[in-house]
Amino acid sequence: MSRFFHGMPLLVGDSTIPGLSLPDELVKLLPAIFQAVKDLGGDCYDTIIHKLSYDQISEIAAYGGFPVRFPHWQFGMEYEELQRGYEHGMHRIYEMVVNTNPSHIYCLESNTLLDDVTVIAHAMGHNHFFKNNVYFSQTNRHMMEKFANNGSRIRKYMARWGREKVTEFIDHVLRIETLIDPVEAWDKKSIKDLVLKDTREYHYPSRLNVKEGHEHMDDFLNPQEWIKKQEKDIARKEVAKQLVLTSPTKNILGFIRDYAPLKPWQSDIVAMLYEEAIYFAPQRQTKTCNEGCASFFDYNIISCMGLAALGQKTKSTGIVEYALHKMGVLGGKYSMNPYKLGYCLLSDIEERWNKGQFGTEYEECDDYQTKKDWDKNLGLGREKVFEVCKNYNDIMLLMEFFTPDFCEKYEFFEYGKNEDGDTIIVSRDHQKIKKQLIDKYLNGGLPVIHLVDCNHRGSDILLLEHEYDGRPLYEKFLVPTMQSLQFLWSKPVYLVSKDENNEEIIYTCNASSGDSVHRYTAKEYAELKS
Amino acid sequence: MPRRIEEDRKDFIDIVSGRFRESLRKFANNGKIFKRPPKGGNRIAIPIPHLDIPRIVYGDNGKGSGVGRGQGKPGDVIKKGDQPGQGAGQAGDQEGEGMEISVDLEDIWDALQEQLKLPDLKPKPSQIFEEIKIKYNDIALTGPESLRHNARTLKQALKRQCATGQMDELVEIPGCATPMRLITPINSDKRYRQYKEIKLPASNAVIFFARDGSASMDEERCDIASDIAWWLDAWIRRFYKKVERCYIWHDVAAQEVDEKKFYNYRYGGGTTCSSAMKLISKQLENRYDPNKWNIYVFYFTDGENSYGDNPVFCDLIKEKLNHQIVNFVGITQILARGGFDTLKSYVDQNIGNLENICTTEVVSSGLWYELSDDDRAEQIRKVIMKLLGSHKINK
Repeated sequence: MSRFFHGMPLLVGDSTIPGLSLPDELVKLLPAIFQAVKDLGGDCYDTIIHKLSYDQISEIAAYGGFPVRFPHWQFGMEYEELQRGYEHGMHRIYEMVVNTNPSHIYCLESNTLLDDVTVIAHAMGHNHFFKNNVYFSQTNRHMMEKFANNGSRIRKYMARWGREKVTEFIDHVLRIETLIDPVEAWDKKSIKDLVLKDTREYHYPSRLNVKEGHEHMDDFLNPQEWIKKQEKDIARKEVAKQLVLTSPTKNILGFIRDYAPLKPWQSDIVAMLYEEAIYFAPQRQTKTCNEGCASFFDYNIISCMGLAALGQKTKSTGIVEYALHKMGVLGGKYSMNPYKLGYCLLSDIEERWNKGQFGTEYEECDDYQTKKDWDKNLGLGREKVFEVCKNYNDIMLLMEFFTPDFCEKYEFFEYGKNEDGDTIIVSRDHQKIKKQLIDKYLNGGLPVIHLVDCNHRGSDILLLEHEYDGRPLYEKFLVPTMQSLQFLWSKPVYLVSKDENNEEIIYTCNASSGDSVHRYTAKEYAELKS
Repeated sequence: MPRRIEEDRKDFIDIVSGRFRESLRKFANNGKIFKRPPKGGNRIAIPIPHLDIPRIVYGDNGKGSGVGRGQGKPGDVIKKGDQPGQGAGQAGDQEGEGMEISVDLEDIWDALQEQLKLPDLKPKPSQIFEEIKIKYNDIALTGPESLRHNARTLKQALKRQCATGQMDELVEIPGCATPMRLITPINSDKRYRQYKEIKLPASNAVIFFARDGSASMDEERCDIASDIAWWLDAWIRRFYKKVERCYIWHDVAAQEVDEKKFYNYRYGGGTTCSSAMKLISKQLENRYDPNKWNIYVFYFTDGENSYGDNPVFCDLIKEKLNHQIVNFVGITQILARGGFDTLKSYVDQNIGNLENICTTEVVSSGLWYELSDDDRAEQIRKVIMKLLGSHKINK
């Protein structure tokens, strides 16, 4: 933790982000901060701290924390949003951390000294989480180089095939970017080698020989029906030789990468984007946990361990500024964001395990007052929090620790709209609130789509199935997504889902029907089939 | 080397402004800005353009409900209607919403100009220089004593005395201890301030807004027309010092109305489109001398016209509103009912190639001429872009 580079380019040669040098007063304080992190029990990667101007930090933020990515307009859009928002005083980015080894922390140039101390403590929390959480254990820690390489490879393809053509292809892939299975990160299968050989065997129906001069007998010796029957058998055998999915899979992008009939450069792009999607997947899975952990770190370090006074004139000045800063992040009384939820859950866990409010004995206790005053002085809180940070993701965290007591203590409610369009509190029912939250976090809040058959009806149709949970799909976006999938797979794509009335519906997308997506009910589909 | 992000940003702006990958535009939301700002305000809330990458997501049945924190019992109102307030913190993290910022109209136009690449309006080339301004910036040998330029006069005297060698003479001045050199201007040294007349171009413009007021122009069509008119007006006002507006409303006969009446919905009987053009040409003769005014005509119709009036309409434009007289004529057809036999198609066929005429239309993809909010904004955006972006506007 002693390596500080400042004012150095991140990647020699390729990167263009120069960075500013750290102010001396901050450099003096750094050892104290890192010592505090160690005292708290943090276990972090080496850290490089960069001080960036707002333009630069916006650029980095638009690229998801990396100085170089492949060229695409979506990053331009992010950048535009961040810039305009900043110009009009809507928001600012104090810091960013990336999950690499060594870890990079970016601080905004205009931060005050206390801001910097706070955001470094906060970022060290993220750093700890990245290093220790099991969901991040499989991520590539050298992703910064990887992203830069991907970028230059895609630039090369753009130079060869045209920027517009490549961007269009990337757009197609990005639409199905979310159709991956994060668990695949543990599957260390390397990228499929490009198959340039055609290894298919050709089979022809067998025919009886017809002697010369007896050609008129051909129709009798090799009747049409017999030939046709043989052709059918051959077709069936070939189908059996084709891909068969052993079990449904969520990893549709991975399937496309491995089996879609793409050109070499297209294959390469899909593989690169797949890798990037897998890299970002754990961040989506553990957002609340991660932010909770980081907030837990900075609260403990700055407030409890008294580092708020670092570099301040008097001992008590820093804490008010820190409180104000936290206000901005965690928000006021009514706010609800991942930072807040994660932080509340973790501090609740700490309190409960400190007091011993867990286990069968506590759960079975019926007396309200006893339960409330329950305090065994176990002091296990911090240990438990670290355990949670190590092994849990958002869903598990909510499932286990969003208890009725927690719900009541932090005054959660469910809101909805009444007839007048006003937003009202609907209920304070713990189960309903929990369901809402879990819906929001399960699979990153996205519908679960499985690939159930890649050779549907014996004709290479990709059959997808939506795991219906009462929420229908958004058709405006579904249609282009299916078209893109169809484009990549170059064979028809079907998707089975349900509508609001729990009726089964089938979306089909055929190249033959001009890429348009049709929607059929189960009955119509059966008719169409016959 | 430009920064990488700037290249990406340029790509994005190109897509949003429809110059590149037109097919992606339907996922953009920046069309929403074409709504009028609230009465009297010159600030407007606009979303920062945002382009969604379509992915498989849930429908919007989750909107308006969620989980929050705070005190209160079930049934309590935490947020009134559409007003922003302290609600649960769902704002901002919903996909596709975009972020809204409140900005000055001027800023919007600047941004739009950059985004839509609208050309600046130019006054007519034959513009007569009208306004005369007086400025004292010249020197004359004669003039009233009150305008005498002392510094110049003394300088002149100094020059003359140096040339004739008079400067070496020392003169005793009463009250001074030592004799001094003296500059004494004579009449021929005197210089006077003189004014010059500067002719400034009088960049005045008049905008004629004319609309069909027949029964078939219903409330929705009027609404679209007024929204478009408002933006056109705001745009033209940027380029001229003095802009007069003339609102014309017609059914069988045309009449000039005030702004309020024009924007409000009311209807009369049948339709004779040429009556509006007739009135405009009359106004040009009486009030707005084409030599002194830049003239813009915008006409809104639903495409219906009485039988046999289309040729009259076109002839009038050709004769009375041609490019020597009028800078620009924009005809907007809103949700036309007829198939091919509309005013726009007739105009396109007959006088569409005139140098100063441009036609657009608002169309609906749905049945019954309905427009969703998004569609409506998008259509309005297209119309404005076509009218103001047309190269004919500067002919």
